[in-house]
Amino acid sequence: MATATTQDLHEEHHGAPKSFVQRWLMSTNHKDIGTLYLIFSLTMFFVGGSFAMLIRAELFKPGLELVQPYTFNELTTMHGLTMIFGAIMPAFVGLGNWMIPLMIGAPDMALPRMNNLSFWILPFAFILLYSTLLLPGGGPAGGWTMYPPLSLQSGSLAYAVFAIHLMGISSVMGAINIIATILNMRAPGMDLVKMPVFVWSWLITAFLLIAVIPVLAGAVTMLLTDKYFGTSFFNPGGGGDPVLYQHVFWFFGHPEVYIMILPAFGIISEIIPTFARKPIFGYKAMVLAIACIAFLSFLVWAHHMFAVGMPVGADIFFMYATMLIAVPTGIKVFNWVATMWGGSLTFETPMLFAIAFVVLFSIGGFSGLMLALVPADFQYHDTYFVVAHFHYVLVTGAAFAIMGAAYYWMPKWSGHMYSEFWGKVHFWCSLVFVNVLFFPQHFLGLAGMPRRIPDYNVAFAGFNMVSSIGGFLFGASQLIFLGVIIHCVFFSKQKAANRAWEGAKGLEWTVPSPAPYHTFEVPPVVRDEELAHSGADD
Amino acid sequence: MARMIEAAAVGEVEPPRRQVRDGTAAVARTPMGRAQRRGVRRTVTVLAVVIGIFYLLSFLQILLMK
Ligand code: HEM
Ligand SMILES: [Cu+2]
Repeated sequence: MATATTQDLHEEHHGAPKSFVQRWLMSTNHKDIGTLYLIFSLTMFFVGGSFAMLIRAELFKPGLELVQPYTFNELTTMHGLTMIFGAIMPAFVGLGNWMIPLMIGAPDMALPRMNNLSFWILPFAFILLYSTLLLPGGGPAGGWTMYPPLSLQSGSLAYAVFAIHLMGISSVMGAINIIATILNMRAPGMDLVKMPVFVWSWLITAFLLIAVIPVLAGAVTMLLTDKYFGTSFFNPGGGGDPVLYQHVFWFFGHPEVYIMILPAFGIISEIIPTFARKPIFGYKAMVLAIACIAFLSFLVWAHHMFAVGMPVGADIFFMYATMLIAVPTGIKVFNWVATMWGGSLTFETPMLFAIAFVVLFSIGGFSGLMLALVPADFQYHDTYFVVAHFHYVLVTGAAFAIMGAAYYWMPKWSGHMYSEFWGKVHFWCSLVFVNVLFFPQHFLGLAGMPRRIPDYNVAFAGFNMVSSIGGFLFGASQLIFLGVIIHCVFFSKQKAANRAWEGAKGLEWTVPSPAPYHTFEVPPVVRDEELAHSGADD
Repeated sequence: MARMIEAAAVGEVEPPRRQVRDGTAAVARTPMGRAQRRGVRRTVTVLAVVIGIFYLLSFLQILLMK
């Protein structure tokens, strides 16, 4: 095998295409497409972040101050859709594109041209979505969940639905590519049980995507036919039921929230062993826990709709099923801590983000458990408590993991070290301000402040002002992140070693930094001592 | 095109120039590369059928239930 694969392929070692259009618009290279995804995602973080700044500005004081109520609803809707489909998901796809082939010793993704298509659909989908803000009737304003009948009132529903179809198709193609790559393109000797946990997490996430994106497509298409083709799926006047939409949407929606966290679990499982200089504790348990969470995520959707009045049996089923997820999640948190236990720890920026992830994601998990209690959720539902919950799991969870990953792999991407000082400044500012921003929202929610409203009772004024100040400062802190990236890519003088981090294991650290345009054209010889997990233990 | 790649794979002709652009094309000539491509084709076929069915069911229910 080895002799057959090491034949002379010398004439094919060549660099990137010279012309800009060839290189970026027509790219089939996993690293270039990964870079495109990451730039797109960072841009969308700032676009979605700007919507959030406007929201927090309006909520700074009680009363209608800045924007009209309809505009406010457009802002929350666009903020949600942008962050979910534009920022978090493309960031994971970008990281997967860059790192999966490097981690499994493949020359590229299995389907390089489809890879190009999945990326280039996205900018068009978002242009389509944002164009609705300029239309006479205004953009969609029913929230990212698009519940009827509210969402049906929007004159631009068709644009939003078509944009969501495009984003879904892009995700599905990305998922096909990732599964095909992981199942078929591994270097000889890279058995499934030797793969990095990040690769495993993406494999499982890709199956989730394939299972639920068609459900979302069905749900939004029914909205479309209800509005324009005279059907009444969700219209009681015609024999339909608006609660049906919620069932279908959340059958997609809950797995979707796990799509936004499982790759983050994978990232944290790469970072912590590196900076603890120890193999991950309980590799198989980690992979099984991810698979288990993915499976359970299909059985809990109705915890989003306890307040609609389901039969008690259903309430109880969904409550216990939801709480069951705490078991595999607890295993993961335990194993991350156990990996650090007794390790020789250092606290570079990626590790700081990883540790913050473990603590703050757990806070989000705990508020999730509170929300899973049916009688308690009757009070918490649709209040700021829910907003606090999902921002802990998504911002200090998913987004912190993405930032940690950016710091962790930036030396491999750019060939330079970022400024550790400014990285730490970015981390500490983000850590403090994100808590100032979201922690008071727990109190607001418990006191009864509803979500998605532009104005509120003066009783809520204090915590809202604190939250807004935290928000502005958290937003401003992300400019430091931008600065660190620009400095690292264009100005940093400090060359990165192949193995940028002393304790880093895995094939990605055996190639030069920056990773050459083509890697592993000849499959690498996989040596167990190079790997983070050799399959020898447990 | 497919025939040309096939021919290139068994060493009958030089690979078509355009192909070299893909990272995967570099290994497509080796026995392992060919095995990988076969695997990829099989995986994609299965996934495409499954996703096709999922989408079809999603839209079929719309037609049936309306
Ligand atoms: C520890 C496990 C978790 C539990 C028990 C849990 C439970 C819940 C419950 C019961 C709700 C509905 C609250 C309501 O509307 O009244 C909810 C909302 C939400 N959760 Fe979680 N959750 C968990 C983890 C996560 C994770 C990991 C994410 C994403 C990364 C997430 C994202 C969300 C989002 C986005 C919403 C709000 C959706 C909306 O109405 O707009 N949750 N969660
Ligand atoms: Cu959920």
